[in-house]
Amino acid sequence: MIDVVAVAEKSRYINIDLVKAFLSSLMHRLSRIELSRLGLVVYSRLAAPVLDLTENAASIVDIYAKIPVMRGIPEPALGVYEACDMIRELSEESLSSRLIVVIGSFAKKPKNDLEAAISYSESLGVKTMLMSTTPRKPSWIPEEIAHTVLILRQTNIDRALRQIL
Amino acid sequence: MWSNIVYVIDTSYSMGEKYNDLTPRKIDATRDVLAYTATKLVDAKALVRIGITVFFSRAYPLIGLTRDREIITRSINRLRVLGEGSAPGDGLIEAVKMLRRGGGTKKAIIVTDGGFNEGVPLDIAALYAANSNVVVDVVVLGDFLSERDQRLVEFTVKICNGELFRVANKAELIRTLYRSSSSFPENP
Repeated sequence: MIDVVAVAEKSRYINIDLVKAFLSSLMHRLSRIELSRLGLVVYSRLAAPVLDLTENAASIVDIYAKIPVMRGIPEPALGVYEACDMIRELSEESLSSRLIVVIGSFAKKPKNDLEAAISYSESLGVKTMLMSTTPRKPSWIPEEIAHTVLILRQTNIDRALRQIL
Repeated sequence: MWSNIVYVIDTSYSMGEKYNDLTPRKIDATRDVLAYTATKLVDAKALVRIGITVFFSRAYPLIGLTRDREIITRSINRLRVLGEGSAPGDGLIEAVKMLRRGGGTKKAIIVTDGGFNEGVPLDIAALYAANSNVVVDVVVLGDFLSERDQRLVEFTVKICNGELFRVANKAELIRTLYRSSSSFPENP
């Protein structure tokens, strides 16, 4: 059993097609794992849940596509906190492994501390992985969490999924 | 099966103004009508639960889903103008979060006078509500909504299978709020 919350950026900095391709592969891969659930949080300057954890997330790509591009510097930490909120309320720690996957550009240094948000997710027993759509590792990411950043390309989506699931 | 209703109440500064006979201020008229509607509903229907969230530039739950008459009236009596800004999207997200754990039918009723300028855009919150099977009605106090706000509320009621009501006076507010509260969505 696994519960995964995808935290996807929707801003003018993100490669939207790459996010859609990743979400589609993630959804298909999870659909082959029994009792797995997928949820979606979107973020830019603000973060919002858009799909609660569900076993039937077939529409996740359409849902992401419908979200308007939001203004401002993306704040991945807010997305992580929102995902933690969803997991805390809807997921049983004893029954499932829980994972947050952040898919972002990480192009601009945000105001909110991403490391603190990841540390909070860890305190809930939730692992957080960072997927960057920007071709090089963001310079502002602290060393302590830089190793969790995976550079996402159209060609390595399957490998990335094998690595995180 | 429970019928769950969460009222999402605008408590921004503009609700501190008078409009027609919505006096002395819109928030006071809303409070009176909401107290009447909510208690009447709880008295009339055995399987109704009521929750309330409020919003200005931020949003908070005021009461979680309950049918305790005393808690409902006490909480409604606390309704007042809370601050500047208007973030109905945040208010609706709080309502959906309140509704997401409980079984039964789910409905949110937003009562607002417009001027949306903060927080998560209402259309994004509406997508979350629609994905969570929450029916959303919007009750607009007064006759003015900016073009952008109008688009947002129309989009919201459309994708959430709800209705948009415009209310110009207290009698209409009583009628509308009771009608909206009494019409339960069919699918959980």
